[in-house]
Amino acid sequence: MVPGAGTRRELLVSRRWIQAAALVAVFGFFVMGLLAYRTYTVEPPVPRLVVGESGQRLYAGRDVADGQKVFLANGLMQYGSVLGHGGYLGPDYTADYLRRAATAALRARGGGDRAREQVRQEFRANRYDPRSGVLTYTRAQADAFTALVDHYRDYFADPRTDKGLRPYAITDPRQIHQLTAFLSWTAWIASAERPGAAYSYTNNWPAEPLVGNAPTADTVLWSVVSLIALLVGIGALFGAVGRWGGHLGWRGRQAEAIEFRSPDQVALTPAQRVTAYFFLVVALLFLAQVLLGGATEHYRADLTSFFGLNLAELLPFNLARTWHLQLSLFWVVAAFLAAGIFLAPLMAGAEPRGQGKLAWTLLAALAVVASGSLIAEGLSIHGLVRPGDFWGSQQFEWLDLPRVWQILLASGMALWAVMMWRVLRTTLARDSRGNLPWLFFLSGLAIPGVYAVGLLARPGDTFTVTDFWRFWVVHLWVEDFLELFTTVMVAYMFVQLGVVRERVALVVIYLDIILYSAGGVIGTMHHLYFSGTPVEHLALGAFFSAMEVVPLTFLTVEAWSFVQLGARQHLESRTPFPHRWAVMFLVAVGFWNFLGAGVFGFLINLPIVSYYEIGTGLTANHAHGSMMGVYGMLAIALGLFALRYLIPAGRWPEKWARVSFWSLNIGLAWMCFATLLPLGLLQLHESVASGYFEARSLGYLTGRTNTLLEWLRLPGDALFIVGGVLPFCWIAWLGVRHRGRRAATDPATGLTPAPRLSDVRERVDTA
Amino acid sequence: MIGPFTTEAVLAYGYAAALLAAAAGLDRLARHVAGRSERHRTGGFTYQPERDAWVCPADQTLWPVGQDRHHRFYRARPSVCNACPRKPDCTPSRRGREIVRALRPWPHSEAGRFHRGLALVLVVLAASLTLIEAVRHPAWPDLALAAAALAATAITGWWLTGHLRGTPAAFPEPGQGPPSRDRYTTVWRPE
Ligand code: HEM
Ligand SMILES: [Fe+2]
Repeated sequence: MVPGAGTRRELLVSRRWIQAAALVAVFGFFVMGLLAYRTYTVEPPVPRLVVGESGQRLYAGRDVADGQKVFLANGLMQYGSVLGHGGYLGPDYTADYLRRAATAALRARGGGDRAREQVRQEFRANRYDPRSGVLTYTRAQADAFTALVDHYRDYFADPRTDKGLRPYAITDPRQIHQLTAFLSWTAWIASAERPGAAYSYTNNWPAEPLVGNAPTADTVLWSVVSLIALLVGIGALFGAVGRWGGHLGWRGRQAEAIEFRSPDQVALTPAQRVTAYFFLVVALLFLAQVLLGGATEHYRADLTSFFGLNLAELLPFNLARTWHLQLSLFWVVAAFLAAGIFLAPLMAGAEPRGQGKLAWTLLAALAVVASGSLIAEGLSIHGLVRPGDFWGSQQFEWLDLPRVWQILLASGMALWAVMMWRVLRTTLARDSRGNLPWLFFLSGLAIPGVYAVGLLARPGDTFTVTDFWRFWVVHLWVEDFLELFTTVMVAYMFVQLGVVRERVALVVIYLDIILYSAGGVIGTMHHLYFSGTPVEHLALGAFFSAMEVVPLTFLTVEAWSFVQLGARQHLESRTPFPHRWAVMFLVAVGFWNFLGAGVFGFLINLPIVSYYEIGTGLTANHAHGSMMGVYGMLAIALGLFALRYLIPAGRWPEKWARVSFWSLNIGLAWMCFATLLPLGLLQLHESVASGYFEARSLGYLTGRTNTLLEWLRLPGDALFIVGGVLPFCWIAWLGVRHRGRRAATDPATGLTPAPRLSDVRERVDTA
Repeated sequence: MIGPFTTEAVLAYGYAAALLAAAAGLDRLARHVAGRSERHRTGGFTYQPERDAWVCPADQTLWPVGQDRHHRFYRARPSVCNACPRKPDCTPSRRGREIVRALRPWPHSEAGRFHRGLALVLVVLAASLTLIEAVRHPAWPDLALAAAALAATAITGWWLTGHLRGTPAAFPEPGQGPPSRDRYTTVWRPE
């Protein structure tokens, strides 16, 4: 035994929980390791050189990498997409190139059935020679390439702004050539057959009859298998709960009678008081984010003018959308960090000297990273930064931060982890490594850890590889580690308030780790069905991501109801429960986890659905329902929890908390059901019936029905912003104005005692 | 055209109908969840409506001991509980296991009102869509569909608001002091 181990508190739950959780996680990441290996070994090749039949040089491998940098630097991934990944207003440039090239080839051959068959075969044949690294385009393909360089030159040099891009977006002929090379390469991997297979590198995505692209047998098969997996999984889980649920330990026991301390009796530590400023920043970033969202949405409803103003000169669609997405991450993460700073002393019972200063440092660092990266993105989209620049340009969708800012953000989060460590050090030393404080700390560590993986995606690498790592962040963050961190935080809040026993909370957390990791880790691959990764990514992704829905259903129906227990606990206390609205926001988190993540996510999760749907309105529907519904609501719940103690009880704006709660939820439900869902369903129909290219065309998106549906969300959006976000800003402002009551620091030790939030009225028998 | 109706009308009114179904479905599901969370407190105990009493897993009876506007309280005899071998898994109290039963369980809880409220948003949306489509294309026989959709909306709306009409949320507002009737004093003090 380790020296001093005897002084540790015992593990509160059975060791089996830890073993099971570790087993599931190790298995998941072992498979992910294998998949990473396969991604690198069988990714679609980037040819050293692409030549025409007569040997003339068309483009080189370097041009593909540089073209990708041009694509990213100009924010085109936030306007349209490649291989289905990116924004939804512009076209999918892979499908766009493929359709235009195939049409040109068909015209060159004079049309007719024979010509069709010939074009199909030309595009499907894989003429890449791995030994020399040379890819040969047929005459028709080469001519199409030359013609498309001209096409994209005109397209991007357009002086008008009626596409939503800035005028004269790209004019440098070299950059246009590189960009076309990049698009041409994505179109090549989308149509050329993988060696030894009868489908393309992208599993035949996109649907394009001209080049013979249709869903593969695997796409259909694994859709069916994953559907069955989901049904069996849910059935098995509910069966297991029915059989053993009683033993999980949160059944039927009467809770301790407790009394909540009035917020006025709770004196705060220096760092806890700094979180008031954090939450004000959170609220302001949130406000900026939704206003930019309004601008983004306006482009979709009315592309040509912003109430008579030519907005696209200053704030083109892709810049508005870049900022909209970036800010959504910033304010949510800032709220999480602040909540960690607020909760850690409660767990440790005290806060060491200097923590307040560190909190200020962290806030300043966040402000610098947020504004610096947003400015850099603006400069890059306006063409003022060299593509691929270390300081100024990266701009993968969701990983938009230029590299240096990405590193700074990861270091900021690492600083936060250090702050957590300083506070929790003694508690951790005294507690079993499987108990709540350790889980809190470890799940917190995972947040910077997973984010740092995003650094593996570099603008000049093969798109297949960059997308693989990009989704480690986008997916693993939100669908595994943040869900986990969320459960730990919420469980922890309830333990601190005394409404849930620590042992019960631990069981829920371990169950969570097991269930989320079982599906969520390998489930990452549901984003990579068609990005050039081999077919096993599709098969495993479909199977395991279907399993993700199991905890979302289960935890909503079963364990999240322990949140409702919290809401009900006030019945048994003589003093009023202070966290009415924080808990209601948590109830909302449970609801949107089920609807936005579970239902809307699974709606687009089967490979066969994704094949037609990827990059269309139903993704936006799911993204809003889950990002705002789950993490947005959660961030606000955490904010209100802390703000309750930062604002004196007599000043607490109960009414505005209620208004904000209802407005945000009604606004979000309206947004999804009035616009995003019907729009997405119609677009999916268009994609299956007419074609993916057609469903993504501006002509379709700006059609009459679509325009009407886009305007239909206006009342919901207005309510969301005015009734939901502004009151939250007001509450956050009150927090800064009052900043709670300061607890006295012990001058000898430098420790500031952290408050208790409740007292047990009737103690547990010791006899 | 789908039958005698235009495709757009069928899609619009059909979507409105689907929203109503979703509203009803969400409400049922939320009710189910609320029931489960209720049972977390009472797992293993059975309520016997004819006696208005609960029976615990050790076959002891919990009788009603008090009531406020929204809840009724039940308690087992302290002497029985304090001698019971299963007490540690049952209650921390020395005064006998207690159970609280909400008199009108759904949707009078806060979470219930939230879920019901969102279901109503869908109903309002269904009505708005129906009206917009009817105004855009006021043509026979599509208007018959519109009338049917409106009728269904009205019925669903009436049904969903029924439970909410006239029942305020039972949440003690901060600043109002303790709940009007304090069961710790009224119920426990006599012992
Ligand atoms: C709280 C949890 C979740 C959050 C915050 C979330 C968020 C998102 C976001 C923001 C996107 C858009 C990514 C992009 O633009 O490239 C997305 C895509 C996607 N999500 Fe989720 N998601 C969650 C859970 C789920 C679940 C449980 C499933 C299914 C089982 C799912 C399935 C998908 C799929 C298939 C896509 C890809 C759609 C496309 O690329 O067109 N998500 N998710
Ligand atoms: Fe995902």
